[in-house]
Amino acid sequence: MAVASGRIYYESTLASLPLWRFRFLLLGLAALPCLALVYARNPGEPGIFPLCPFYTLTGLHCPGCGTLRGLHQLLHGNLLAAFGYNPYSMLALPIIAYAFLNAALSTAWGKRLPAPFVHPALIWGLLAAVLAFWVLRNVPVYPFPVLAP
Amino acid sequence: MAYFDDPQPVFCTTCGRESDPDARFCDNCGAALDPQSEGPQYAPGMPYQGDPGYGELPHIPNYLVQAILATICCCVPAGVVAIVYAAQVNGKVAAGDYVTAQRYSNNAKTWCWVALGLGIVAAIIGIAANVASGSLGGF
Repeated sequence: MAVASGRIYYESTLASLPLWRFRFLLLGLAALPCLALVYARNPGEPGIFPLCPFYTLTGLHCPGCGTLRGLHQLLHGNLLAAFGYNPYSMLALPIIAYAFLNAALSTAWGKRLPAPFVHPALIWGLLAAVLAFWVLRNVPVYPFPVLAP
Repeated sequence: MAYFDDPQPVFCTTCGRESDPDARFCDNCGAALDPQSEGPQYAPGMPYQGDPGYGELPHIPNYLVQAILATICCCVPAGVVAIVYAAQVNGKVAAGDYVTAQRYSNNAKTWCWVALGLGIVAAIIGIAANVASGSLGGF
């Protein structure tokens, strides 16, 4: 923070780092060894991966439960098994990857990928779907256990 | 923001001090303020130079992807709240109410950070609980 001619200027030390504009690319690089670990070790077996906090505390599945196990299957090329663990996160994965790429390109080189305007009704629909998924994957009556990880 | 007709601050060309948008003389040194500094001046017959925000919707982030990510791996309840705000951002943008959309956008952003914070706390508690119950072994 510097005060000059009666006006206050804030200087962020992080944002003034020369590598700051490449922060998303660096984050992506940091994710690679994590993905290698998820590839090498099966999160479905007891070991180094922590259980979901929500599941630990309540014994119920959250909408994200099964994502790590699904990711492990996806990295091994088993698309069907991946969707079996968590269809929601597998469907969200391409969207998250695209948004991440967009963030990386726009912060590093100012290039924006086309981002369509999402109709609000679609977002309300997503909200309803997520809440329904959260509840239904915990119903122990067939066919709902199909949704459970 | 070029989308709202906010009065732009006027800077004195003599001393650099900012003055009121409608001031004609500098508060600090008394020099006459340059009317050209208030923005582009249009006159009949001049070629149209383009409006900075014309023809496109203002980009008001709805943080939908961050909210989705929060429902998967951070904190589900806070992520759900962020999705509600994301829907309201796009609803207000579609209706042309950019001021309210910006407010909902700020709320969506706040809830994404809340989700991340609570997610980190929950992860620490979760790992501690896993270690305590022995379900988290070594390599």
